[in-house]
Amino acid sequence: MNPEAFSEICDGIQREVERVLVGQDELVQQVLTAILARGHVLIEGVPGLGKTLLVRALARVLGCESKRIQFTPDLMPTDVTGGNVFNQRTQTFDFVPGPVFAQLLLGDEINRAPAKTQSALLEAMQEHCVTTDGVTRSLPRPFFVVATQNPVESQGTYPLPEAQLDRFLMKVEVGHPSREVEKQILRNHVQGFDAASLDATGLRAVISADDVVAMQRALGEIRVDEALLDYITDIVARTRAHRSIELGASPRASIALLSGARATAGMRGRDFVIPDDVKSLAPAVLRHRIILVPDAEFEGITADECIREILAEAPVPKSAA
Amino acid sequence: MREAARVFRTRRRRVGIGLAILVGLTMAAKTAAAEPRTARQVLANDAFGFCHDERYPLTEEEARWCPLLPTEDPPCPAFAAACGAPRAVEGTAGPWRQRRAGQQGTEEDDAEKPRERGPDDFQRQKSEPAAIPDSGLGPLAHVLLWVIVVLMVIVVLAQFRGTLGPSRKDVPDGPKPDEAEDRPDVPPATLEPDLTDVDRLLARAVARAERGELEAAVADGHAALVRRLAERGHIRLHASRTNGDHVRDLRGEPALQQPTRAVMRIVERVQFGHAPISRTDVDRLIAQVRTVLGTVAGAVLLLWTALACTAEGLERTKEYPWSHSPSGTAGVLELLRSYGMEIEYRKSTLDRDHAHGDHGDHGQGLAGRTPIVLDQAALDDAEWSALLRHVRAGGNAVVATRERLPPELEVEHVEREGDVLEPYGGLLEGESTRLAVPGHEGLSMGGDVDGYPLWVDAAGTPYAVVRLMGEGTIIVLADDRLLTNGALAIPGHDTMLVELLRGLPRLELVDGGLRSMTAEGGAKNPFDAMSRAHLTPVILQLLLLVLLLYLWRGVHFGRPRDPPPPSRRRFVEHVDALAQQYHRAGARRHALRLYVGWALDRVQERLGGRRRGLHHLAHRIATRTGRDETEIMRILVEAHDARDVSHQARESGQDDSAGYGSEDDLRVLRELGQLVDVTRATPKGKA
Repeated sequence: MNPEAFSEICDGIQREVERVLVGQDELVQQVLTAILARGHVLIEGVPGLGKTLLVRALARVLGCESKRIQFTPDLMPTDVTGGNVFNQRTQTFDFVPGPVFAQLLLGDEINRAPAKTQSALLEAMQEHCVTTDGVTRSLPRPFFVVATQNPVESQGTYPLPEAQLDRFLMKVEVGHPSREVEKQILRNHVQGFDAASLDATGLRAVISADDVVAMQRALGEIRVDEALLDYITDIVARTRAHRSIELGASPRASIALLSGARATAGMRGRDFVIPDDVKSLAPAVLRHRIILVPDAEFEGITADECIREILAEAPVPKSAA
Repeated sequence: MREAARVFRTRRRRVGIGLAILVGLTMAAKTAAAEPRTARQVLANDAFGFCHDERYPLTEEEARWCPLLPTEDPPCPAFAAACGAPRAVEGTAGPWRQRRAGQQGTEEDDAEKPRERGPDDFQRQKSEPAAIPDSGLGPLAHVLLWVIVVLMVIVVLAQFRGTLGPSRKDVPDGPKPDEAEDRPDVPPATLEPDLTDVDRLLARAVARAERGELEAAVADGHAALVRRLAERGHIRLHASRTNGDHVRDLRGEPALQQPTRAVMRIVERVQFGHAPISRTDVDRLIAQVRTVLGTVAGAVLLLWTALACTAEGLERTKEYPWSHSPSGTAGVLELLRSYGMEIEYRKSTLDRDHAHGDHGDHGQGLAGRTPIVLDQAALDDAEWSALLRHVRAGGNAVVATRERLPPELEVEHVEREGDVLEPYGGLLEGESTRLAVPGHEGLSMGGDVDGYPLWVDAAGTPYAVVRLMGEGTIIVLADDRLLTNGALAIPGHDTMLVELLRGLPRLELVDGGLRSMTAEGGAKNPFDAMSRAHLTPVILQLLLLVLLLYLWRGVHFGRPRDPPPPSRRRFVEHVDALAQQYHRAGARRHALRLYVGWALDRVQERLGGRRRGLHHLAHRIATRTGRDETEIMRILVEAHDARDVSHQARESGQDDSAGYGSEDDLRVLRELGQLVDVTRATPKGKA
């Protein structure tokens, strides 16, 4: 695919989504990057910031089917994956697919469900298939999960284990919009905007689900210089040697950084990756994959600060190898 | 610490050497000043512009010396030529007034042209006193002043360099020679641009493009751009910063950001892309680099143009200090001082007591001094009385003013004829005792007055007289022209002046302007002070500089610094605070119990002896660490007892610390802590 055309399509998608989701440009861009990189996104933010609206709008603009799961403590794995139900008419067990059988899935407040239910989803995210009663069923393509968790409430929650967090390509932190943006949101509502009915907004599909898959495939043609592979491994290796980090990022993080950087390059209309692609993506890709030492946590050091420090020290490749 | 002390000693030694040099300079200056000098030598100083600048703007009053100037071998060579130059326009009133060249022949100039001074002008002149010809600072103070000024300039330049230039900590973007050795995987061609001169880099880029070395040309163009932007403080260079970071640094400067972004795109394509670079791309890159460099240069050019404009403005208003003009007295002071005479300006009124600084005991402040009353002195009755009392008491004075003289002096102003004055009755000795002083001011002394003339005109009207009063003497001159720099331009005047004043103790020039300035406490407000010090153009120039910097770099021209990071408590401080809380609550044994429980759990967890008793655990620890098993068992038992006793006492509500000292508890803590440490090295997989 032509890089300029690739970039033009991405810009069109962003513009269309931003028609209904005001003031979350960066969030939209990062989520789109993750979609193109075949990854999943964990969004950390308080309720009411438009996460559901984002997924619904994206699904419509990308021509994909979307579903939503509200995670609760009593949610069972079969509530996510679906299960075999006895069909009295046919006297057989029929498989009833769960909400996970969608192209875009919003897992709201994923940390409210117990680990068993979480792992049912996380397995689907990693393997892109669901196994029930010994039968493995593939999930539709593209398959993309946006999971959210509330950073404020901790009572009655089941924090995601580090190994499972690693399966999210990036973790995006969403803050409250600025006053101007919030006023614009109100103005839209005054003019009749209703988040529940996107039909009324005239939101159109910019591409189809097949186009999304084609775009994901096209990213494989984006060139990554050997020096950039060194840069990525250097950054990830530094997370393992940092004084405030007990557990550094895994090789899966390197792969995520690479695929994310390719997606970023494609979105910016290039058929090659540059260091800036890697550097700009590193915080979102790495922040949920590292564990700080207790001393650092006591001192209030955050993962983002450690990553910033690493990026400020890692030398950037200046030329092709 | 030793290093700091050594540095301090070195600096102290340097300061000592510097002071010694200053003192030496001061002594040399004093020695040089003690040599008697002639008027020719004094006026050879360039500061006396009227002797060196043929376009020196004279006032009408000063131009009256012109007919009297010698034509052959004049001591003041350019004075005669300056007589034909346009006349001066006097600057603002005040003791620091100066002059600048004016236009000749316009009606305005004629209107402002100074008239010949007469008694009616005195009131006007009182508000326009002569400048202070000497600051009164000693040579040491002069040297120190200049040292301070030079240091300040250096500090300001260093600050500018630190603010606008790249930080020393910043690592240049371009590779260093030794980096090539460290990174053998990078082709040498890409590391080649080690030039630091931007123009040469750009020239090399063009040359390489001509030769077809396109990638090297791109590297040179990129290096030139980045270096120039860094030099101007637009971007910050560091090995970890990407081209995108540099473009974002220029966020507030769209004129620079757009072409820089275009350049970076081409550079990145060469560096990381796979499409071949074309000559058109390189030409476009060089053009964009030139655009950026031109923008930067334009800003600098604008800055310098503005500075040049203000400098031109200063040049156009070139001013000559009054003290070194023909009307000033700097030359006279220098001449007399070279003969060892003490002479200075009097800063207080004549009736002020020098010793005590009050107005009581009139006249006593003049003891041992010789006041020289100049034209602008404007003495009041009290001061005249003090002066006359001083003379009658045996003191000396020189009165060289056209102001009204006190009746007690019995000398009056009259008109005289001619400029040439002959010594009266051979009272003065020497080969050339004739004076040539312009003007019509003469003196008249009653026939029975105790005194005698010194110089008289052709009609016998005295120009200078000696008046004997009581025990002392007053030399009265018809005006103060003989005491001005202009008089030194006439051969022989210097000798006459020295002879006239030699032998008089400690001369004090009494100038009304200076006295009023010091009496009023100087400038009334900061603007007045700036005006008097002629700092207004400099301040305006600095303000303009600040404005240009603001326009050039926006609010970032001061390079915003990151706020200091919020101080965090270290982990050990948290632990310390927690221990203090336990201590205040008297929960020493409780804390011990908690720690022992935690430590035993960790050790058992690591060595797998959780349910097999202390003996097994001690054996495992001894096997793993090679320590004495009995000793380990003792530690474990004590720790175990401490936990159990404390637990039982807590449940029964008894004091659990009975029978245990804090030292015992501390020992148990430490010994157990050592066990935890030695077992920590256990591989994770085995734990």
